[in-house]
Amino acid sequence: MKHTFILWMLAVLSTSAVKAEESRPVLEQEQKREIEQVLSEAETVEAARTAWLSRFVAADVDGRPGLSEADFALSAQVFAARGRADFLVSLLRADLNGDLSLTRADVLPFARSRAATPIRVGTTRIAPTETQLTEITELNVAQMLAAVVSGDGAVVLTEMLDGAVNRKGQFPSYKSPVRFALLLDKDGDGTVTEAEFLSAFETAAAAFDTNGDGLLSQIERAVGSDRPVPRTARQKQDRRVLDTLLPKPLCNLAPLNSDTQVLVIGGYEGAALSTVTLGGPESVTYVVDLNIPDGKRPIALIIGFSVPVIIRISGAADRIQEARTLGPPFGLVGRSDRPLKRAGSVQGKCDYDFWRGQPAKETAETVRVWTGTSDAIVATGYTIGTVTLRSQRADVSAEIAGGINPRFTPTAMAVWEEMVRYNPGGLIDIDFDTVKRPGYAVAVAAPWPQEAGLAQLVESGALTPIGDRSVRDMRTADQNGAVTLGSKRIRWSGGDDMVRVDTLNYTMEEPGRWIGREPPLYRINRAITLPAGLYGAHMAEFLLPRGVPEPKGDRAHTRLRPDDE
Amino acid sequence: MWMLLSRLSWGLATTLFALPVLAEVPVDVQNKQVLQWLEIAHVRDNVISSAVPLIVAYLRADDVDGVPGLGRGDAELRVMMAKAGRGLEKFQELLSNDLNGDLQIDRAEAEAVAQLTAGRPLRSGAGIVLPDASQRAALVRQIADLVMAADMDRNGVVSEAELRGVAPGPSGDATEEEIARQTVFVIARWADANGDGEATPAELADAVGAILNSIDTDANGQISKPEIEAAR
Repeated sequence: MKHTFILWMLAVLSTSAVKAEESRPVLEQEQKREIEQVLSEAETVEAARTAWLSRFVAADVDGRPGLSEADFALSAQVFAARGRADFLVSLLRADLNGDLSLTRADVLPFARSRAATPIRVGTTRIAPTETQLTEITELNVAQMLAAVVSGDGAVVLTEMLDGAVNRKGQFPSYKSPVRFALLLDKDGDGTVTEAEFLSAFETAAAAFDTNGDGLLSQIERAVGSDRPVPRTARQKQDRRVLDTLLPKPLCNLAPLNSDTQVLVIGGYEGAALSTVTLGGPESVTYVVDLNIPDGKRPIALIIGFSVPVIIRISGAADRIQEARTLGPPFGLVGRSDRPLKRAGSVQGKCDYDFWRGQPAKETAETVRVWTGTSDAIVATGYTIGTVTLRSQRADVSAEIAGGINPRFTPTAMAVWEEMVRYNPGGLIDIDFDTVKRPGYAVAVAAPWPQEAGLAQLVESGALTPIGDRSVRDMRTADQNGAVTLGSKRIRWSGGDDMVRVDTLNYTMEEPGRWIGREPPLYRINRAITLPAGLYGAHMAEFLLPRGVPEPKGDRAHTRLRPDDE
Repeated sequence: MWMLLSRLSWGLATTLFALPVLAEVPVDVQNKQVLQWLEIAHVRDNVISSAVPLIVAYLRADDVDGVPGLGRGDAELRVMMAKAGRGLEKFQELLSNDLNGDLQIDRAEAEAVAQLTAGRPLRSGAGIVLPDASQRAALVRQIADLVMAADMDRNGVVSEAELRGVAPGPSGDATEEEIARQTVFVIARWADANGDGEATPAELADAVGAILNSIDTDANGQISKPEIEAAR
């Protein structure tokens, strides 16, 4: 039986050598992971180096300096011996008379007790019948004495040892840094020296410690190992920045010239940047006016919205060297006179889901590829705000050429005022026939979108406003530009036009100042079609009395509840 | 492992009978014990006629001596079963030094195994400290010395006999005191109506049933929540 054992050990050793050769990429990957693990747990590069080196020292067990197959063989042997000893002792827990062998007399009481215990099946308990009790007891005895090989009815220690060897499958396989350390044997002499062992570490450490100060910051560690950063409040913010820095698949982009400036605009439907709202009964589209100031440096434009938005570019439009949309492929990008050169949509591998903050990452990636730097961009959540070009914020208070004042009427005064809050330029009656390619069907006679449409419905008597929508709460941003609403801390960066907290809708009235109102409540008096675009800040609640049909049209973010009065 | 499972279920049976004394204790304590069994039996609506056979079945997990019924023999065996396999830590530790599986340990084996322990980093207040060559050699010597201390005849090898020597043999038969402490012994005496020394399944069923019926004050054959509360 000693013979068997030695043969087995030899088999293990030879297969391990072969396996190391075969699975080199796997081992390399594993080694990389382990190094990253060490780096991500240490606070300085030096501490990580010591921790990594400790594996070398601990694995060098054969008394000769350096790691070799001999170290692996010896470690594996020790591991196997421990496994055998554990297994033997687990068998001996049924050794009733303490003679270090197992007989039927030893195991029978254990087998009986085990057999008699009712079995839980789901919530039911099933007790064995008399016949089953005998059968299961014998089965248990047979299992416990399975290591018997001599046929004399007793399992002696040596037999148990053999049994343990034969059950090698149940011992977890031996793991040692030596396995991949042998990959580091640069000079091929079969021995890995300390310097060779450290070489892979030094490469990884340099990649981790990006600023080279010898300290491993939380972010450096998270970036290096691609592990989630613990989510304390402070780190959550860091993580957002981090998301934008993590490598992403390239979106078939070529780097830009070094002097090109990158302009990023976007956010939701574009309401916050919109100067004109185009809309009919079925949809709303915002128009973002972009005035490019004079300058020499070319501009690369990144446009990210959740819906189609019309960007009207004026000023030094020729500076725009390249433009790219992040968002639905149906996004409209164009110039009044001619289409933008090389305009395209980032898709395929870079396909994104607006609601998961991907535009932020993609924007960052685009900027990174185009400019080779990620310093200039800050992307947070699902709004995008930026930098390099000087303020290009749309002036929402500007008079719109050709616009007309809405026809305010006393019955719907409050609703008209709401409309003006979002559309300070007023309302334009557009002759849709003159719009070249509006991109959607419009019926001129149908109601206007959003608050304007609601006002029309109120004036016509189809809706009755209930209660008032006066200001319930007002918050001012702190010096960091952040506002706390309920448990939410908000840093407005250009796109978020409404935040709902408890029963209040908060909108930003002017930079840094948020106003909370109850969402408007209307009773529906007869069959209507809801105005388009009742999303976000434009949401409303409706009471539907008995007998009145449910409204048609896009319910968007509105709420409909039965009128019980 | 199977053996472990066996011991776990055995442990469950022991917990079942956590309250040792039934015959000599006040009725409410008996009630408490039987209600505990009722809970474990987990019968829908606590129907007494279904619960009793299941409780008896659980109790029979203590019938380990091959003689039908719970009695003194079972209690004795239970004591021995509880002692089995105890005190094998030193044996296990020594045996894990047997690298070639010949049930003997020589100094070379002991030192090779000690290398693994001695190479581990030493921790100090500031962080990790690695052992230098001389520290490591000293540690290897010390650890191997501890292992080879089992070589009683000093012939350089811990023989199989010496290995066995560190495994404690049976520590005598079960004492009267140990037997009396066994729950199965108490239950046997409590339920053994005819006093022949063995509580048969029928006698167990009668004893358990009697208590459940006394708790079932409205005599509808089920134990309701208010009845459980009242019995406590």
